[in-house]
Amino acid sequence: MTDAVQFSPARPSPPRRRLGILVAALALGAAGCSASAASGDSGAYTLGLITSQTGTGSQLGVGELQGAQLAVDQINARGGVNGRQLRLRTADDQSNPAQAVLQTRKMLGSVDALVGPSLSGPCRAVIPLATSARLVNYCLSPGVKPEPGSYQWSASAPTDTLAERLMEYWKGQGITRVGLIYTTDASGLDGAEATQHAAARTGVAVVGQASYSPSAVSVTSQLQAATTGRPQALVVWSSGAAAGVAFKGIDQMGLKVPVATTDGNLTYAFLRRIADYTPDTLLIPATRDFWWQQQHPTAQVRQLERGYHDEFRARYGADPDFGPGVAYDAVLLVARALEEAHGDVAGARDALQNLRGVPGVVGTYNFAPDDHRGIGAGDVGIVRAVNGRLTFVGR
Amino acid sequence: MSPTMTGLIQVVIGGLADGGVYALIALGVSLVYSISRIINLAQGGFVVLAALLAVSIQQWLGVPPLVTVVIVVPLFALLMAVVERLVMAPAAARATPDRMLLVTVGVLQAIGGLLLLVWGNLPYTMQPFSGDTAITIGGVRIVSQYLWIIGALVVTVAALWFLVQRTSLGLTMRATASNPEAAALQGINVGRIRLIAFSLAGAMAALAGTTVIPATFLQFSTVTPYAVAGFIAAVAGGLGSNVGAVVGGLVLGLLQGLFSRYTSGDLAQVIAMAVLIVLLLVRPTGLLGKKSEVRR
Repeated sequence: MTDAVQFSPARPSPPRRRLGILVAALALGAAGCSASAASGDSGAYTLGLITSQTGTGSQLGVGELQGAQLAVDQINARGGVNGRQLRLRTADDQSNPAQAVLQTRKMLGSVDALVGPSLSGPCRAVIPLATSARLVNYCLSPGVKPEPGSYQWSASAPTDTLAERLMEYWKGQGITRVGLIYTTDASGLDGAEATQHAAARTGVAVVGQASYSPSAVSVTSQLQAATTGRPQALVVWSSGAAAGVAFKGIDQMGLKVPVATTDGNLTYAFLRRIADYTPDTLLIPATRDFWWQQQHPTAQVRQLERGYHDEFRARYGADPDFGPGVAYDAVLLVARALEEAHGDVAGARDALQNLRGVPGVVGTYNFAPDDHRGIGAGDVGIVRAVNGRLTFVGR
Repeated sequence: MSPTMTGLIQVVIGGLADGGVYALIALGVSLVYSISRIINLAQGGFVVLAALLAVSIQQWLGVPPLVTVVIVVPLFALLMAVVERLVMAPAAARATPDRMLLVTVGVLQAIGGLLLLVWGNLPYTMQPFSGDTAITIGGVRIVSQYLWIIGALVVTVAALWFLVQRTSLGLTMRATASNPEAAALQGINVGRIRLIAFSLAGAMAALAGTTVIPATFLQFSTVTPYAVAGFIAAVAGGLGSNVGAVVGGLVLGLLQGLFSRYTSGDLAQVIAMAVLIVLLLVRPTGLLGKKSEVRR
């Protein structure tokens, strides 16, 4: 499979490049110098971007590619990284872990860091490769929990924080009994566990719960099970078609309770698709890029958010949603780490995990050796979906 | 009525609606198998293709959702006839029936790819035929679209019974199903009968797709669950038995509904499969299959 989009100019053949790397490394007498610099590619830094351009994850992956390209262009417009241009080498993993591994293998030795893949499964599949190559790997899915001190990063807010914010919001609204319905895939199980823990911590009771297959076309039985305890609100931890099936089931059963769902559904295309069946109150825990205008952030954050949103809208003719934001930030952060590490590929890991208080569009990042996500509860708010649009309702 | 009983009845109704769709798929699989000995796994794929095409037609023409049935059903009868002539018949002339299974898997994969290419990866739905109405009896809520699904199944079963049992074409179909070689020696055009069987299966797939899409969301990835459910229902009911296919579909829908209500989602699927395996161990012919089908 060839790269889906090739932004970099033609590169030398692999044997020639390996020879070039060896000669340059010997000449410099230093290990860990920039792969691109070593290859003599006019000193540009190259980020390997693996996203799901096709398959189930393309709902996120297409936007991620757009967000990443926007970040690269903005960085280059400001003079690049240490005076060098930043380039993207992109590939499509087809939403498939095996393809993600294949594309990663192709990139090793010719990129200075990896951004992606889009989904947690492919992300987990490429971790061993990135780790053995000592290459920073910024997974764009929140569904990965990076080991402390590792080369692995994970985007957006952790599931625990999303669930906790939601339960705190509902508790503040007087809701103390919730039902839970979730899919049996990794994302659904992770969300269900986080919801149960968050409910226990905030004093909210989960009075009924049920799981269903992501490919189910009816969830009448599961909704019966989840609502037997007469909950005041319902959590639907599933995304895409599975969430649509649940919303339709809620509508068909005539359930009139507030419903909350995962940030995996924060794409405008999906929200428009389910507009006719969106529950009267549909809440989604979301990061700052979805509610920055309503919360009066600092001037620096406001400028960053406005620059990102306006330029994205001008370039692609649509508002950015979940995918573009995480990829945009990932590129900014990895570029910053490469800059501070002066292109030392392995050193970028230390530089990245020592970044503190760095504003991104998703939130303000405070990394640490044991926190490779950097996003906290303060970066998460609750938005309400109405007619395919989102409105901030609280934090 | 107690809330527990109301909930149970609600689960049964939901299960029967799902089972009605499985039964329509299984009926198509069973009819094609009885005439051609081909297990058409692609039948579930055609259901989703018909459903998404109905959504597009409804949006393009702005017609009421029910009208899409009148358009898509004959269209799929024709489409399946074309598939039979261009793919199934040439392949069947060279491959054994068990290898034809692989051909139908290939067609299923091709449909999934086509759906992704044309309709993308977003889920689709359509307004219910009778609007968003529901009947509530004793606290049990019956969604109007569920009645359309069951109605489509009843009409299909009645029409098929009339065709097979009360017409001369049905007589030749029964003769072909019983022994294709003997039927050919009697002067029956077996190829034409097979074409008609595929065409009828296409109409059934379209009927299933157009009636279920208003009750759920479907997308390219839904082809496999429907293909598997239709296959299980057809085998459990007894391959080649039309009544068995209907019973198999309804029982499968009911079991999935009940197990999903009282166990986890994963376990419900495992239990449904375990029940099928036990059934086939105890009764290899399926619920209503014939011994000759097992030996063949």
